[in-house]
Amino acid sequence: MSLLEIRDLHVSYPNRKGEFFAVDGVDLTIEQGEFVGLAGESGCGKTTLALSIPQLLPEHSRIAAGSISFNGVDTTALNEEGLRAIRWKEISVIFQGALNALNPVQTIGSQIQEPIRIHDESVSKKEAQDRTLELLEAVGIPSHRASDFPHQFSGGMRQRVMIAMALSCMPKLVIADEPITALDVMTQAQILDLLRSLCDKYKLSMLLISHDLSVLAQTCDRVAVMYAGKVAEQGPTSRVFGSVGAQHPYTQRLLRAYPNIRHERKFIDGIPGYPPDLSTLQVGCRFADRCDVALSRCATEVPDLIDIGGNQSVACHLVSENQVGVQ
Amino acid sequence: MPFFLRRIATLSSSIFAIVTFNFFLFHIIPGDPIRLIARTQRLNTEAIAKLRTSFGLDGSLLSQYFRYLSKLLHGDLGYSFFYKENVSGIVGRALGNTFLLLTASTLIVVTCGIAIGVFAGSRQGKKSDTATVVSSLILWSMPTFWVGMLLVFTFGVWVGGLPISGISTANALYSNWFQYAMDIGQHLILPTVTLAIVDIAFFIIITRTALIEVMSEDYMLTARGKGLSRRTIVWRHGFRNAMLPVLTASALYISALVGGAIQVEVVFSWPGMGLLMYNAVLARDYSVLEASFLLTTVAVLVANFAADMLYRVLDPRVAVSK
Ligand SMILES: Nc1ncnc2c1ncn2[C@@H]1O[C@H](COP(=O)(O)OP(=O)(O)O)[C@@H](O)[C@H]1O
Ligand SMILES: [Mg+2]
Repeated sequence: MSLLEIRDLHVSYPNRKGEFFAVDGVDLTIEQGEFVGLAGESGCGKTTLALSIPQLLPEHSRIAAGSISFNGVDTTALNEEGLRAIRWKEISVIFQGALNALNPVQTIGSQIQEPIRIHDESVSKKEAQDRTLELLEAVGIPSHRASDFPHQFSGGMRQRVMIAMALSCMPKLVIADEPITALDVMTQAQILDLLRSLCDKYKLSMLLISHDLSVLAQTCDRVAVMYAGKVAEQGPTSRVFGSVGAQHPYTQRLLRAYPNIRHERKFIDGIPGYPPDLSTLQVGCRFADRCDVALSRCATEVPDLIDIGGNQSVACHLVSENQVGVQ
Repeated sequence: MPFFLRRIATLSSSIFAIVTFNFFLFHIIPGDPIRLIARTQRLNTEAIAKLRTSFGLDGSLLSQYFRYLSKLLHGDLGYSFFYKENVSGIVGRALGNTFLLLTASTLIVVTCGIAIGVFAGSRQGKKSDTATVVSSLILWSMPTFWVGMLLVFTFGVWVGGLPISGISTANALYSNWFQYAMDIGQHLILPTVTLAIVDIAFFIIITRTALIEVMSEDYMLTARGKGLSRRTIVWRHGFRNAMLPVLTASALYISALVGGAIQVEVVFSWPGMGLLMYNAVLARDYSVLEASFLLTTVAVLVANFAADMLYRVLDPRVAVSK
């Protein structure tokens, strides 16, 4: 059994005309101990997908269809009490915009420590304190700073605090939503390395979200690329960034769009145009407007996610036609 | 703590400025108090000169000012011809009575106002929230003296049962201390309720708004993500952050309180600073008026100082820069 199995998930937000789907039929699987990367331009539904796993979406959102099976339990069917029991204990989140994710009037120590005893009453106060200090050391913050407040830390340090906090209950899955976006390039690399090494050390699974594919390429076992609420392509990192290469035109463009965070490239080749406005209904492939190699059917037919072998799948008419040609 | 000392220094200089302003205000405004007395009591020039001396109104303005300062430092606030008594004694009693009234009402206002505000704010958009907002707005728009008169009418004429005037029953003999306290307590009810009713609405609304603002902060989502209960999220993570803007608004409230207290004390004949000032204006009792202005302003300054200090305790971000 996989740790996480998302099937045909549809999540909607209300708009003037009723509702629109920010996540529109997404399948995603995360195995025990696996690192899965989720990429895509901003606004394509990454955060919505991620927050639906522990059901942390705002009240006005709606899970219209699909299931999220975590450790064999469908989180979409749990009540508030059931959800509270798995939040942080099983699934913790490093939130997007984590610089404001810490409570400004509480010490970082108390914030890291807080969930430990909430989820396990048998832990003594002293043990919880000790674990907090250990976690701080593990993320590279001297333990005497436990009594400091968030504003006394730099952005990178606050992100380290957030990581320590995410690990305080040793969850099975850590969701990191753009954990390095707001940081400078040097700090980005350090934080990524830290995340990777800690999750390896504690054998945790991770869903790492970034709009920058090069970040995921270096960190993850598998990547999924989202476009306008749908998965455009997904597969093992070794294939998508290696031997076989990215197949979806969007993934290919995305790969060229960002400088590598470790070796700054000279030319950045952005994708012209903008992601479609999800609130207006569209037929056909949602990337068709911006695609260099669009076929005539792309404008009218929605491409299915097709397995092209090696655990890689792509939702593109061009790719599936070539596949047919090969066979 | 040098910051604390710096703030104390600012407070002291503000108080000094107020003392000075107050002195010149009362010595420059038209209407000579001596002439006022002379008009009613037919005095000869000699007697008038004597009066001037006893009022500290002889000599140049500057020498009067320094004399005033030195007397003030000795706790001497002058003499009231209207009451035929030292002003410090009169004002001291009134201050105590007002303090009792304001403490009672502020306790109610702050605890109930904030609790109801948090209740409404954490249920934003629900029926209970809307009902709270609507009734708060209605309460808030009621003038204090009008509420007071309504209560006087209700409990004095219709229903009865509660004293509507003064601080204790006239000519009452008490067999023990407890009876006396109970009597004062009964007299305290209506003025307190009047003062609290309008101000509670103010606290409900600002607390609710502050909490709603805080609820949308990123760290509140973190708190939810941690698996905390709704109650813990609101009280442990939201409450203290929401109290910061409430505390700032309380500074305004402190000044507004003076106006409210005057109205309530006049309506209920509560022998406090408000009633004292009101009567002093009617009787042109300058020495009492001068002392009342001074003490009221200083009280507001000190209360603001306390609010500022509390803010620093609550918000580590503005805490003492070493
Ligand atoms: N709380 C919300 N209420 C309404 N619409 C939202 C909300 N959050 C996100 N959206 C919309 O859902 C879409 C996907 O957003 P999001 O999941 O944040 O994307 P990403 O994380 O990839 O940037 C966007 O069109 C965004 O405007
Ligand atoms: Mg996002």
